[in-house]
Amino acid sequence: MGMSNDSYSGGASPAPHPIELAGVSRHFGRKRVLEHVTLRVPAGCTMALLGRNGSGKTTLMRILVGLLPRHGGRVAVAGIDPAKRPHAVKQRVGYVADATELHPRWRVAHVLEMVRALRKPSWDVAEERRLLDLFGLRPRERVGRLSRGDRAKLALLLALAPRPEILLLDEPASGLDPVVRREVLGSLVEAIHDEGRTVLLSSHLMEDVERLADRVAFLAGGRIVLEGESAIVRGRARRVVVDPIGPDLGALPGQPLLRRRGKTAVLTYVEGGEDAAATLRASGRFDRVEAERMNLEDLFVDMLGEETREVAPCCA
Amino acid sequence: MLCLIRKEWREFRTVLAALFVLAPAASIALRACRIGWEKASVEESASFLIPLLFGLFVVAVAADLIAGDVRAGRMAFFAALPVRPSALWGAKVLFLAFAACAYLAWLLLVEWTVLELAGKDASMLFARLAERPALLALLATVGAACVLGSTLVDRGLSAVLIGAGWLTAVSLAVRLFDPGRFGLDRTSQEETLSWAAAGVLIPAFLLGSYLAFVRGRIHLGGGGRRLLFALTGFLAIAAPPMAGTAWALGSWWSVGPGDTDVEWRASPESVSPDGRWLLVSAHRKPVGPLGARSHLPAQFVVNLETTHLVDLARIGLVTAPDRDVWYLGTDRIRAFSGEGAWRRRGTMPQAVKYDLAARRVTATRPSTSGDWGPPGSLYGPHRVWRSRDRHVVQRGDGTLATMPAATWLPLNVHAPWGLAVVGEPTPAGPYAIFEVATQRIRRVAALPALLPPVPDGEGVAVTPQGVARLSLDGGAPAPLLDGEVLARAASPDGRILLVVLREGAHLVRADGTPPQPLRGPDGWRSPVAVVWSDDSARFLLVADGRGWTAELGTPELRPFPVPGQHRPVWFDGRRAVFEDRASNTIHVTGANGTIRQLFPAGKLPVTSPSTR
Repeated sequence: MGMSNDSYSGGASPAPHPIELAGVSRHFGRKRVLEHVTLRVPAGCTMALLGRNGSGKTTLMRILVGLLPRHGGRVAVAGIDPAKRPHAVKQRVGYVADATELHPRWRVAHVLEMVRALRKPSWDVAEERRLLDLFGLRPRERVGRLSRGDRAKLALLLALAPRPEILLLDEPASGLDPVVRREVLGSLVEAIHDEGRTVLLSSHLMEDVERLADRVAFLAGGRIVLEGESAIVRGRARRVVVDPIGPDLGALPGQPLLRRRGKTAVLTYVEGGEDAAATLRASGRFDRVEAERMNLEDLFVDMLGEETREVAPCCA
Repeated sequence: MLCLIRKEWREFRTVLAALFVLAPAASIALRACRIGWEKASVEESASFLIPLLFGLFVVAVAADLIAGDVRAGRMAFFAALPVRPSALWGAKVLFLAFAACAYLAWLLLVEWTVLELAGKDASMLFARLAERPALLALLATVGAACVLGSTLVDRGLSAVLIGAGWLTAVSLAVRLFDPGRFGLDRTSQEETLSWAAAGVLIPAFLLGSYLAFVRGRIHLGGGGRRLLFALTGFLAIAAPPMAGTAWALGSWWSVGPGDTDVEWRASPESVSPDGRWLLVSAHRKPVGPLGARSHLPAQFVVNLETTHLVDLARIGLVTAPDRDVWYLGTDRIRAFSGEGAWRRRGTMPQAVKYDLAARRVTATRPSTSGDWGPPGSLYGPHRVWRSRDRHVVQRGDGTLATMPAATWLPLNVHAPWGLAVVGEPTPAGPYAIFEVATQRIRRVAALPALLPPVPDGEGVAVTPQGVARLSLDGGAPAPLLDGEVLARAASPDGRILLVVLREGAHLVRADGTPPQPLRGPDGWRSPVAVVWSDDSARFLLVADGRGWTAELGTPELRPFPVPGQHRPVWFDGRRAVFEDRASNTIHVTGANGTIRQLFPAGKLPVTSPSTR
């Protein structure tokens, strides 16, 4: 089963990678948050970084922007090490943090004026106005009176207006209602596709990921446990249910993730699931062998959920 | 940078507005409710109101300058933008500086206006304030300390406490070091310290804040890391000048026997009771624009017979009634005995807790055995500020008494029953007598050079016309000797006054007997120096570079070897110690008549090593 740190490229030729991490580690005291993470985001690609709360997504994002030092490995954003030249990286990156704090008495116009001055000369005033209209933000409104959705839009506007070549979005639509989320994502889709930007976004909302991402990477236990093109990942993943099972399951084809539910076993295959199901049916060991397609959310839950799982023994 | 400064302005404008309104409100309220408009003055504006409000402003803005953004989590927002942390910090500090200057100008304008409206002349306001630059500099230092505190914590009040605590620690460290010992008087010390605070501490605090902000990853928290960088930055600027000053002052104050850049001093109290040891003081010569002179000399103990250097002491001299033990010390007394070794002793009897300096002023009865520290000796405070209103006096029986002495200064006038002091002129008379036995202060109309044997008797006075006898209660003096008095000295027992006129030397007794002429050279010329032996039995005169001595009972002056026209500070009939400030030398005349100079320049005339 393809649960490794190796990239699952589906056979395509590698493109230049504006975002690269190689063996990156980070710990906070004794807690190891990232453990030898290796990840490459091809140019023009939108990659979704999926993981549970506390899995290290935000930490990884902060390392990429240069807000947090790493404790090992190598990082390059647009070919620049953010630890050595954070200023240069920030000029090329549009970053939306998981929480953006602004002075509540500032007006939207003041925020824009300040960030515009700081992000000269890349700031596009026309784009600013367009997004302002699109998001329906009032310049005279005080930040403290903005709704959560409007604050998310403002954060996105601040990231998109400079037309950066790379976008790092840390849960950009988290906590938004479906209507607002759809607006925000719609803008994102537009921004990404129109400009051909390289995007790395972290989220745990599968609907958003399926809408936006070309590639997905699952982060669990500080490591990348799965990475590949989202369509392929989604298309090839299978959940195979077999019963009845005894204490000793015996050898199984492939290396599925295994969950036991009484007399039933649920086998999760990232790939090769159909072939494995056929093999199990042919063996006659089980009364029932059912294979079903999985979406990203199913795969997310199966791979990163709390239920006890084990890797089933492989066929001899 | 401008947009960042504007950002600070937007965040602080409410606070600034409140403080700007507070200025006239406080000024008017103070005059209307407390002082009264008729008593409004430039003085209270310059010395109280303006510094108070300015300090409040600086602290209020500085405390939240960085802490406010940290507390609200806005640091992370700015950290993610392409703006350098140094620019962020610089904008904050520049904003504080501009705002402080603007507020100071506003305060001046407000006070000027208020005073003018009260009908007072406000033209001196600027001048009065300009007389206190050190105070404003100190307030600016407090502000810088609060900026540092604001970098370390995320609460304004905590920032103020940290800044104040840090500044207090530095002040205590400076006070412990006590640069006042090295010749700076209190006023100039505080003035100097205030300027030093501004010149050194402000950059030190700001550098500490800068490093903590830029290198301390302030957007991530990490208080320990910030503190480390803050300390590093602060010490990088503050430590070198402090250490350098300490080293320079220590080097300057530290004196060795071979030093040529010192002034040598010996005084009558410098010779031990048994006449074997001489305490020599060495002061660094006045240096610097202030002409600072160390108040705390180095001390050397020298054997009078051999001029052998015994030890080095660094504290002042105290007398004590013991014969053979010579006390040295302040509140911790150490004793130097004839064996040539220092040993610790307890505090003086009678629970005298001041630092003491020796003054030998009078004796109540003849010294038959050469007691050291005879009764009637005055013990004054070594450090005036610690004991302004008391002097300690030793009674005839050796016990100590205290004397109110806020404005009294002891005169070197001898009396068997008291000591003369001088105070502020009053209608009752400018002088007073302190009766040691009864501890009474009695005002008198005239002050003689030699007090009478009994309080109601007549004393001996030195006038421009000569020597006369006069009553303490006033009246016309009765002439005893006519002529210009070139020198005079009273015997330690307070009974005899040696007077040198141009035509000859005389002994005048306090008991009223006629003056006794002494046979010796005629035509004395100024200067003439005189010293009595401790037992009041003999004396030494030095004039025209020649020495003459005589004993009581023999009216003949005979020659005595002297090193020149040097001031004799001690004499026992056979040996003498001379001090000459012009040549900066101390000489000792031995019993065999040989004259030795102590510590000739560049050469250590001792047979044992000294210790520093």
